[in-house]
Amino acid sequence: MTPGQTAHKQVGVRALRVDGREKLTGAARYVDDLVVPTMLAARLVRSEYAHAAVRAVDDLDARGLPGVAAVLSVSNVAGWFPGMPSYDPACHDFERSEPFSPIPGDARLFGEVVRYVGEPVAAVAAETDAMARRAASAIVVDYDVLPCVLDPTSALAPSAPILHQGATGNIAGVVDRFRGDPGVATAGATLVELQCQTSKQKQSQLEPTCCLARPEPDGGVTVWSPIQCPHRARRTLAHLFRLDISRVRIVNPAIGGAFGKGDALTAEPYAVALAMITQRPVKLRFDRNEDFTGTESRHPSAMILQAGFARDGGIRGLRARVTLDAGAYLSHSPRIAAVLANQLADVYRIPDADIKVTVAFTNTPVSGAFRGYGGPQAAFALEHAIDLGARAVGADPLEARVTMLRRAEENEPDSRAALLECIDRGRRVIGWDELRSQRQHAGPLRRGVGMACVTWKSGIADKPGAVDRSSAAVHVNEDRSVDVITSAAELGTGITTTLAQIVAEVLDVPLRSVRISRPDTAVTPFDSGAFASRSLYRAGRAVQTAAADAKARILAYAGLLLEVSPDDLELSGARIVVRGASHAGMDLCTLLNRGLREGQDFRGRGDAALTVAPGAAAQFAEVEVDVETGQVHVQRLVAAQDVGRAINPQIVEGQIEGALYQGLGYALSEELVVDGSTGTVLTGSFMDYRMPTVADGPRAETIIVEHPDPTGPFGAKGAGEPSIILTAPAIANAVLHATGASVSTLPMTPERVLRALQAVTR
Amino acid sequence: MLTSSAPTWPHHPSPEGGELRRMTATMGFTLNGRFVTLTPEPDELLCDAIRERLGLTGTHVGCREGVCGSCNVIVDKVVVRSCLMLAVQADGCDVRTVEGLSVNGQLSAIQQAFLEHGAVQCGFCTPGLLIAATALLENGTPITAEDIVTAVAGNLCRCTGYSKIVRAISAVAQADDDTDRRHGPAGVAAQ
Repeated sequence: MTPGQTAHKQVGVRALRVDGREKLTGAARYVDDLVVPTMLAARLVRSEYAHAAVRAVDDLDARGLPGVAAVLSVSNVAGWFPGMPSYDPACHDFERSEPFSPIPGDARLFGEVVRYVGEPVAAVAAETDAMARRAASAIVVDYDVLPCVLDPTSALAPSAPILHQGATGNIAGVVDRFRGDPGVATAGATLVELQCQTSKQKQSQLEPTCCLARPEPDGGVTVWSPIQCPHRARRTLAHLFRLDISRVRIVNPAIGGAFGKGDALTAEPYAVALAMITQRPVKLRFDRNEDFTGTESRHPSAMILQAGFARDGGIRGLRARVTLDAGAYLSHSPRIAAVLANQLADVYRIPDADIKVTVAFTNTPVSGAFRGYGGPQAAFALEHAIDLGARAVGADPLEARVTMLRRAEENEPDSRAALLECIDRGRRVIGWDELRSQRQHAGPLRRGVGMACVTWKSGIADKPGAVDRSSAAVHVNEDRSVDVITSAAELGTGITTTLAQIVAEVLDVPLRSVRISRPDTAVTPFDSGAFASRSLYRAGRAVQTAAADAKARILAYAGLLLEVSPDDLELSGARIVVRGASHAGMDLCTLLNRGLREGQDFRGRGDAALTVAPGAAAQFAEVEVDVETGQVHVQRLVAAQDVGRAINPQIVEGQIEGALYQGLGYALSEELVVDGSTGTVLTGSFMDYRMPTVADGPRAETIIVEHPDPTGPFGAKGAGEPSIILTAPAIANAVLHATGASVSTLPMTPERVLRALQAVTR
Repeated sequence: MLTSSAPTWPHHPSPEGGELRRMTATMGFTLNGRFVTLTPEPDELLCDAIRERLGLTGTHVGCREGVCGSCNVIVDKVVVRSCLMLAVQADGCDVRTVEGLSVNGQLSAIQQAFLEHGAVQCGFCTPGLLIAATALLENGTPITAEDIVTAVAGNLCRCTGYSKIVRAISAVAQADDDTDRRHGPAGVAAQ
């Protein structure tokens, strides 16, 4: 504890997860574990073509099969849902100039044109899963195959086939960022040019996408879904099905991982449509291949960076031309492009910056939200360019970063202190100075060390048009157990435990007596969702404020009964005590019961102010490269991350360790490969899409840095995202140090490493 | 006793009456110490029988193709992907699922270690990992760090980065995981 902090009973404690027991015994209920009477099973029929007009859907045979309750496709959707609008699967329609006004690139339940292999063309509901599968395979779709574009370069070519009428060519969006004097961006400095590409990474949460929708007698619908943004999703579903928002109820069951996948509608609209048609509950589950192709993934990127370096290794000017592959629909793309541009320009506050991000529609599965949201692409290019520049001018790349950050600090005081601490501590733990000064060779093995760093905000309240709200209520029951009513989604992050610790701290009650609600839009208050490092930061603040409100109400009542000022009272376990008079006070439960009889209201309410908090991380990788095989063995990963305040250090470690492994996969092996002629996903199974296993792993070391932010609960910021951003560039920079080879394409497969090594020797 | 005579799941009104008459037979196995009888479809997977027919949903299906390990169960002391085994193949076997690991509400040593080491996040892969670890620990032979990695190398986890899982198993196995450079001392590194 640093001087000045008060002693905490819960904050900073490695409390055991409150949802641990149910998950360890198999008692936790995920969507696919839910059974409701008369439930039907659903299947989707998906497009075999990357781009095609759907001429006809022949469902006659399918409808005649036993057990089939409904078939829905473009041929009959207008009959069931006249005038059904297009929609934003990302559910960020708040940000449009007119709410819900359609824009090019919106999704449709079923359109007359399909734009990627795997896009739904029909949906079936039947008595059993086997019957639904049989019916789905009996549906005959007559396609008029259209020419397709499968990569941004072809998509942006002048004569390219157009995906969306109304868009400018296939441009899904353009973001420009300028600072200083972009015209002289690279004058008078050592120029480095870097071309790099990043891959289509899949969240690959272990729980396959699944949704259960039940029609309600009042004409509404209840949806059980592992979605990360229940309140945004119900708004978009209500718009789609022309219901009042209050008639769409979304409930989170246990969620088997999300990582951004659940920040968009996928199965939900289809399950709801079938439930409304059949007036029976419908469960729609995707198989793993459908999860790969039919839910959103990280945007592939291609970038050209030109950076001018001063003699100290600092970037004076940066020009960047970035192309992002949106896939077939718009979804999150505009916001991700903006985050990417900001991350390029703002981490080091580069004096002269000229950045242009172009987002292209292609006939491939949709890109969208994934932990890091534009950050990993930006950091891979920028952080690798910094190492190339430092090499060119003969500077230490770590010192070059420190120099830039100190300079940035002059314009934005105190903004980089946390990052400088992350760098400093990571440097010592990995032994940067020793490793950097000696390069070890043993036969074909070359060892090297590299690092990367980032600043990252919690919250999006500073973004134009963004809705970034959380509210909470805290009810203290008469036995002093506590109900916390919040819509913070537990994706597996540990938010439930962390929120319980916050409440237990404020009210001085045992952790086990705090119950945190699951999001249920019928009863829990509005919350923008679990994304943008905002759950703990924003929802946690709302919960903390609500708990403090409940406490103030209790103490005010106690003050009346005890005839002392509430300011002199404190909650102390089962008692209310008078400060400085240990014999005085009263039993808390007695007070709560009396209050209940007398109509006292001990229900606290809390909202979080619309702030954002700056966070930071630095990461170090030590690698061994086999120059004969091109294999990169990551020996050590050291991650230092500023989390403001680690309310539960064990949970924070878990967030960082998990992020490192996803970053490791991004760096070395993970890629959703789309066939260049057909648009079919070639790596749509866990066998073909290579995620790290326990045997692939390096030794991961976490360093928790705490620079509390006054706007976060007990100073806390989001902990989930920064570390995934840095693993790939840290490894690429370590490979550069080890071999002199610049591997600028992700994932860094042995083949690509060998090619980069050949470029050095040539 | 759980039997199929009182259906717990509305998905199996058999026979379905296709062109082929589907042959079914009543069979039985021991599930977490209790004998159960059921009449599965000939192509019914063990995971579906356990989850949907017998109502134990702790066995999770992550890929349905034998890769992720979330659906691991122990069949006659051997770890089996229940998505790669037909229900009828379990006839007469001793089958254990995650629900059978705790006794009288008391977590088993490995469950307790997972809890204490923070080895659970979303929890979807957890049952399969617990099953793999349980089989290893019940093997009765001394366990090395290498054995632990091998035992769970067939389980995908997307949340944890595996470190805390390995440490939890090591704690129970009393294996010295310091010897394993891939998973060295945990947590907050020294200053």
